[in-house]
Amino acid sequence: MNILYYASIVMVIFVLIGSRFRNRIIKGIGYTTLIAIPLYSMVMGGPWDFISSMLAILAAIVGFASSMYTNGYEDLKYGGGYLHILIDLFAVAVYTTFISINTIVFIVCWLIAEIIGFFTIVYEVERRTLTAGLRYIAISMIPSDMALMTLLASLSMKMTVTEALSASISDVGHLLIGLPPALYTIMILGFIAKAAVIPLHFWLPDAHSLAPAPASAILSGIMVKMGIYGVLRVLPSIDTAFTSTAFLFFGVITSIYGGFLALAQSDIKRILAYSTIEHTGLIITTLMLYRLYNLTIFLEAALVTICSHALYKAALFLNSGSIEVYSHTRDISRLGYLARKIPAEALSALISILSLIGVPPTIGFIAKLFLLTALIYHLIINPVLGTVLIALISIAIALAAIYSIKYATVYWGTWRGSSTESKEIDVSIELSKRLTIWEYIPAWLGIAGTPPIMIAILGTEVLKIELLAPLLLAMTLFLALTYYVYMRLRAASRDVQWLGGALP
Amino acid sequence: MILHEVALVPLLLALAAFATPIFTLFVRNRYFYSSYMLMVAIIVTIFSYKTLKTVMGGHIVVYTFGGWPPPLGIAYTVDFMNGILGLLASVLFLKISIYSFWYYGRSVGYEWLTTLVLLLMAGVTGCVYTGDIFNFFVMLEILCISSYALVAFFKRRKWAIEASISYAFIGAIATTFFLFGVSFIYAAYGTLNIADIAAKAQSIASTVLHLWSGLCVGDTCFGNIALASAVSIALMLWALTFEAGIFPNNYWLPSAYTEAPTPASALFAGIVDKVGTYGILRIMLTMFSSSSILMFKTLGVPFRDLVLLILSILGMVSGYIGSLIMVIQRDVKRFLSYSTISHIGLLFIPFIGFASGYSEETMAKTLAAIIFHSIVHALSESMLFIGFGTLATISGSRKIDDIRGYGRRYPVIISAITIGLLSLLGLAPLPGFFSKYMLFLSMMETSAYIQAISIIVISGISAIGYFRIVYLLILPRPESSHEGHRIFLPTVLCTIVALILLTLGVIYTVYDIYGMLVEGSRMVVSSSGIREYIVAVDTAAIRVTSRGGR
Repeated sequence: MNILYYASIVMVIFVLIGSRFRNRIIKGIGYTTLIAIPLYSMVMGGPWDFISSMLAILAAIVGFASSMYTNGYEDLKYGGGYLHILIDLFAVAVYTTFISINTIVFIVCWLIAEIIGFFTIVYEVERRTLTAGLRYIAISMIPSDMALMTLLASLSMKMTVTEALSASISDVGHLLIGLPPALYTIMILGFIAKAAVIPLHFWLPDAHSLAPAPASAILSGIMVKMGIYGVLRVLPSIDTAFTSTAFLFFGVITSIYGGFLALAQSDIKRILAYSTIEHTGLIITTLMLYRLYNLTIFLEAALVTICSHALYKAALFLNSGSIEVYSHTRDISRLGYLARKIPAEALSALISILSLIGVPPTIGFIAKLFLLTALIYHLIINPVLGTVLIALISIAIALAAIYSIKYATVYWGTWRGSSTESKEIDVSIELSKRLTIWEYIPAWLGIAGTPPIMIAILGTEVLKIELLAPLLLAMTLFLALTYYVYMRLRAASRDVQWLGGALP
Repeated sequence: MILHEVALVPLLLALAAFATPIFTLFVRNRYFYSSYMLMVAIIVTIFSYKTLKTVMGGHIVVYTFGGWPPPLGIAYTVDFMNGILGLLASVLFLKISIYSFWYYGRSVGYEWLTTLVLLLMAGVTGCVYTGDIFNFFVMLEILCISSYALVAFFKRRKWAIEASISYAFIGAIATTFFLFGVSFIYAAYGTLNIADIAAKAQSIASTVLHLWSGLCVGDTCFGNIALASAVSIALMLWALTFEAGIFPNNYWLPSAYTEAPTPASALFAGIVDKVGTYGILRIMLTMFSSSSILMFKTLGVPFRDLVLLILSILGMVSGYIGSLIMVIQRDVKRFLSYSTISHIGLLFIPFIGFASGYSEETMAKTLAAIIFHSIVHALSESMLFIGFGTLATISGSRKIDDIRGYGRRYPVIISAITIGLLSLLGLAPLPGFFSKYMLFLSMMETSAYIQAISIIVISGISAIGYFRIVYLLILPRPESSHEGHRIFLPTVLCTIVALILLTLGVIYTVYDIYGMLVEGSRMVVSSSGIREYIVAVDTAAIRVTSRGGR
């Protein structure tokens, strides 16, 4: 079935050619095929296992949305430039990391993706972006390189170097069983540095908030998942006694920390960046629980959280880019009532925020459902630790709701600072035409993706009428609700009495 | 086996160097000197390639000068390690000769530059190929004196004079120390031939070598060889670490490399520092191996292991110092000098893998890693010196800020430079990744986790510096508007080296270069390999003695 692998490599080159000539159709065809190939492999069987295919599909979706979004974004924000090539390169580099079959391709693609990540962070040539980029290298890149080197070296100790270079990446975890503790601790630490989990988390807020919006979407949506993917691959080799408990602790601390700091931010992109830290913390927590108790429910919870987070975080980062393009600021105290001016943006943000909060039937709801179910399983197994854990995770989830509302005040709340809004040219039409439609891809997938993800995780037996009916009902209600909100928003741009708040 | 080409390499270079001043009486055309150097370089490369080919065939090449049997006369002895380094030196020299066609158009006094570079290369190849420790000293002196002159080449710049003095002053003392070390060895062993010293230090019986240098009883030959070896190790390693630029002897290196003319800087960073590394490897691996006289206990551990441990720690310190200081440099050649220091540190870190108690397999892997990293570093760093030296020459300033944004103006050479920087950094399809990985792997196998992690952390810290340079070259818009210069030749040269690096990385994964290097290194480090080294010299001595010279 290697034909699928080579086909996807060809399509990657196809995308890059489309990017070079700024041809949207070629890029569109390329990305769609890149989504289709792992999907086919997932259903019919192929060279990749479920985790690789799922992450590759996510990477292609987020890459597609960001790539298309960049076309408008770079014109409106920078007046042209070559950001689109960088974004396409970045997206396909992350994609090829996920679809790589053997170790050497995995490592090569990983390193290339990291380096392109650096150049996207420093794209706006400023002193602070350079500082953020260098911090990204020091805190995120070096530890993960160390992890990759250790991975390769540990493999080489068990077989010859050439065999180690061509070892199958999905078997790595089993090949590594019986490693000395120092080695797998280095590996896990290195991979969680990429995922920005405490103690190696502090590179993320600057890097993700200073990068251009489509780059942030890729960085936050799928690049942190590379770290998670690395952890997933080496997970079977770590011991259950000490290391996984330690990283479980780190994961929980990270989710609480990220949630609280997200509340304290005044920059909308920094809110989203800390939110990413919170969610990677949650994912690492569930993965470590999976290692400790070996129950599939934990793995399922982690995978659903990965999916949902990738979709709504990419959508929200793209949304924050549109806000910046429209209002030239990201400071939350100077933003408000944007729903009147750009209702389409507000709707996109609303869907994503609902998914982030976890309102049924969004994908965020499924993620939260799985997470809490998994934690209750854990509560039954281990009452003392389980109670503490479920309390802390619930706090983290509650914090997510609170900072989401804070983000929403950009559209519906008032501004606290005293700024006079004076806009010479209204870009809202162009904004909705060129940017907002691409935000809708990940945003709507956050709802439409719910049934497929249920099927993918739980198998085809969920396709029963008594299970599907409530889901469909919920989705219908949800769509009706959002339609109403959208219509109300459109009307609100002419209606002065909206929400009874202070007048702009 | 006898191969005349080995001896011709240093001789030809020395003769060519001494002939150059005579030419200056008749010819002043710069193309003459460039072509002259290129011709010598091609011949030398062919000869050293032929030597390496013979060595790879499983032979150890021995050449006896003037038909004198080895312990009496000078013998050139080439095994896998110095065969590769000799070829590397010739290739770098070839690169410099091609570059001189461009560089000589922009400098005065090129005839003297030619003389000095030829003399430097004579010293380098002499040091690499020789099998006689006193001859090593002589060649080291030639190398050092021509280096002092090269550093002070722009003699109107006060910084060049300062750099040269700080280099020459301590350098002269260091080489004198080396001479002291050699005289201690001669006083105790009664011989200067490396193979003969190795035989005596490891109590291996030789057929004819001892006829000229006397027999040993226990650890007494002409004097107490244990004591003499320990003292001479201290003295000789001082000189060699000075030449390699290892902490605490690294202070002269940045200013010397910065002030030297660009071709000389490229040679310094490429091969001159490797001569110091090679000298230490030859002393610690062949002369005093893990079954030698140096295994007496000091502080509870064998003396030789203690020395290796200290070298490894010094390597770590230089690696950290080099990479940390490199990050904040504003002068581009100084930046490359500190990068060299950090990489030499990386070459010294795995020395712990040669300690007794590790298997010959592990030692062979460690040596293979050191050799491969030397090759990669020499190719990339000298290419960077050439590339950045060219940019500095056309912009008239060595400041990094003055060449910012040049990537938009000279895209081809900047792409080649970027590949070189990424190779030094260790990006995966480039050979720098594989060499660092080999170093890392050998440290993992010896369970030296601190050293292993240091290798990654050092390359990580230097990544910050490399990325800063790449960023400044490519992303900002150039400030001053100046007319384009013609840099066709350096561009082509750098591109070719970049392509060679890419190819090396690709064939590393396809062909089993690692296995080949480990196989060759096993010939150097294993006890049977050392015995073979001694036997090769012994056989040459027998042949010369029986035939009465040839």
